[in-house]
Amino acid sequence: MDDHAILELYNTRAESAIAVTAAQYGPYCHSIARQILQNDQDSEEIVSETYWRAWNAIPPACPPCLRLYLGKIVRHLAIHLLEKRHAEKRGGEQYRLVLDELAECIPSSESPDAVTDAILIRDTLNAFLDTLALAEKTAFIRRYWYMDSISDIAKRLHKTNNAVCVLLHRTRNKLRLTLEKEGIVL
Amino acid sequence: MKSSQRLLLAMGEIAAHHIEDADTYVAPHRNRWIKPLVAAACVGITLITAIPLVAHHRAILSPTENDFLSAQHPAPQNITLTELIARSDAILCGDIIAEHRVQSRTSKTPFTTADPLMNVPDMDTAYEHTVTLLVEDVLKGDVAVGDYLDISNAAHDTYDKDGRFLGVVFLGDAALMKNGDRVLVFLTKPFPDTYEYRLVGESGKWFLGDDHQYHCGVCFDTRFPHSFTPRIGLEEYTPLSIDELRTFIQE
Repeated sequence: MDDHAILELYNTRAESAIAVTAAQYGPYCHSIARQILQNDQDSEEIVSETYWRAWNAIPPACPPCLRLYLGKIVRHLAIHLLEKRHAEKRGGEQYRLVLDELAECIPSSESPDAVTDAILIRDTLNAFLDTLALAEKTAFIRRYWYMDSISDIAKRLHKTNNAVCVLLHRTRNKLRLTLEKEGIVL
Repeated sequence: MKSSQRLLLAMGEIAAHHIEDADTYVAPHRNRWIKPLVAAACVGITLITAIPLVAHHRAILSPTENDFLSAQHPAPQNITLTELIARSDAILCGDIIAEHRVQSRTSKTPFTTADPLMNVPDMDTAYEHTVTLLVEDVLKGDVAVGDYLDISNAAHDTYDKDGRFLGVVFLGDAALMKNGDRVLVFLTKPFPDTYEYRLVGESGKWFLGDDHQYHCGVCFDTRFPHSFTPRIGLEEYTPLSIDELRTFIQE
């Protein structure tokens, strides 16, 4: 069933929408949740919560790509759960690593013109990603969107772990410079 | 919330096409046969390099009929530097010997250079003549060790039996050790692409060797008196005092 048909189920408030969604995009959502949370039980809960959020949001939302729409919800929920876990000092090893790495991208906040506008940040990120080569972009997104491990990314890109680390390091430096140039403070 | 957390969440808002790109991108697969090919090439190169070297090394240690010296006098294999020095009561070494002999038989010019081969057709000829004649001369008494000690401007400095230090021995030297009526002569023979040394004579007996210590070791480097050890560089050379040398020889 294509996205249009599934969305039609949501729009008509057919309860089968969730079952169809789970059948169609359940594995994708689970993979994101598991990658971030590293925990099957938590992942299960997050994915169920995702379906519930989607059910409540559609309509009026009408996502052009349901898979990515669900993916964003899963990721968002998983990160928030990890923040909670992080505060409790439990689990989330990959999450901590990713945060440490991203800390390198944070520009200094000394500029008086600095802004924190979410839309500007998003647009800057999108523009930044547009400038990256495909392999570079893939590594960056797999790491900081999906929170894939370095070794998983290395397998995907047919590179060594070390090569991926170097690639990501350079990309983070580029992002920091871009954010600084735009006067963005996070 | 930390800045890095905010950035991580902001990443969640990036455009869908970026995520799709990351989902669909497949890196070009590196050719799977490259690694095995490189490994095979490395093994091949190693073998190609090692086999001739090993064969050559074995040839040096195991004289053949083509070896003019060993054909006449089968070579004992395991003489040590300690044994060699212990038999001697006089030491003279450096290519001053070879040079003297070669020059005296070719140009008759006075000794002026450290290059023993400059006036001979080829290296083997030079060494063959030099060593053979030198041994004969010494054994006949026509040449004494002291005959060579006046050649003090040689680039190759050595100890003489009286403890005069004449300098540093280089590759390609001939050397002589005298012990009563026995004369030890050895020749260090630089091959075109490697350093190998050949101990060619002891009162008509011939020895073969391929260690740098035959060269500078017999002359004065007795830091490794117990056996031949891997090649040492001249830059490591620290001359023994003559007293140390004498003590060692007497031992």
